[in-house]
Amino acid sequence: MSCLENILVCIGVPFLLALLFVKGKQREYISFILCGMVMCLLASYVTSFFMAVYGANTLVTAVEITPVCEEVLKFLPFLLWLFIFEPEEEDIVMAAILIAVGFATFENICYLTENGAANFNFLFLRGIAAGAMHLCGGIASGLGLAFVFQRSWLRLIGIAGIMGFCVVFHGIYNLLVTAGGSWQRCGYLFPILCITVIFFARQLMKKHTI
Amino acid sequence: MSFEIIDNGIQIGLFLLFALFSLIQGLHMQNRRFLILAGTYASFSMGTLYYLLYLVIMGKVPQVFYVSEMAWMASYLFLLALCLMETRRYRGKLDVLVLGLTIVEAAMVIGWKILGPSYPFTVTFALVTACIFYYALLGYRMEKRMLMVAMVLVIVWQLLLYIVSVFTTGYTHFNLYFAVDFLLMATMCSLFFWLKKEECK
Repeated sequence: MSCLENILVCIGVPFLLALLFVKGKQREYISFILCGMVMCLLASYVTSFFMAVYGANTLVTAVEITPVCEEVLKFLPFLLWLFIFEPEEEDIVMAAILIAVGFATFENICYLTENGAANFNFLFLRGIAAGAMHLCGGIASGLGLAFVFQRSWLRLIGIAGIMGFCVVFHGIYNLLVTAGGSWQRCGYLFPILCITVIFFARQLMKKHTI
Repeated sequence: MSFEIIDNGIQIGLFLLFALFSLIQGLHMQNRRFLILAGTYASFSMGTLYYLLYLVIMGKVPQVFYVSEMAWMASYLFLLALCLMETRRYRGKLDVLVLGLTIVEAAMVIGWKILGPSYPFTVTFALVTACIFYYALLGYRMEKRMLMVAMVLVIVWQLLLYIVSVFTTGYTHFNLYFAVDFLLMATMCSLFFWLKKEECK
């Protein structure tokens, strides 16, 4: 059994200490990364709870329960921050990305403690794919919520819609990755392709704006 | 190959294509309506993609959490957002006939337990589709807009699709279920053209 909360303490304490010495935006950014890590820990507890409630095996849990729990828990601190502080559009996207990065980092750390760090090629691929998947979700939720928060009547519908989109994106990745064989290779390629498209689309849009 | 896989494959490809068209149109025209429509298409196709992959890889339909249903719900939420944007000028208006039809529609959604056996999910879906149905029908009665007709038809075909699925026993060959599904696909795709026509006026 891996004690995830012990790992979080070990990884999180330097971030907490850093919070004492930084101000303004940097403090916010570190908090978001830390928040993402805490949510990853909570997601693992909530997932285990539902796994026990439904008597699901590890495969069904990874494919059906994990995407819902992880995406909902990633959304919660982000939404709370949005409702309390009502930030600028740029800050919203940045916050979503950083929470996703924190989440992906802690998830990878937990994966390493369970499976070891011997296979460089696989870990490199997993690092890129899982990172890209969480990042894609973060970018989608950040851009989407920045858009819907400008109109109060659109908020509730928009939040639910974007959350549904993120859940299914995560679900498709988990489904492909757990299937093995060529499906698994497609699963690893899926978020990498998406993040590449987002990157080039962003570059293209920047050029047009300039 | 089972016709269900072919049908879902066509749906995924078609909706992803229309999501791309809507995204390009939205960015080109700087129009938020097309971006919301892109969300509708993208969510629907992703939900179908998850469902299809689950069917192919696992050999059964999802049993515990309804991930694909969440995506389809997201798609209808985006459609509701578009509908509310398009019908802002009639907000608060009451039409008894439209209201009556909407109540029938919502009752059918709840009665047939459309979108899964979970009651909270079904009731939420009933509320979302009822809102789209009411405002779209009201929009048609007020201004005879084809975009509104397409929105009403999307809800009608979706409802019919679930009702037909109850009586459908096999999904390996073309049958009424797939005919209704193709109608739903065509009507959803027409939303892009009607919106483009209205926005380019």
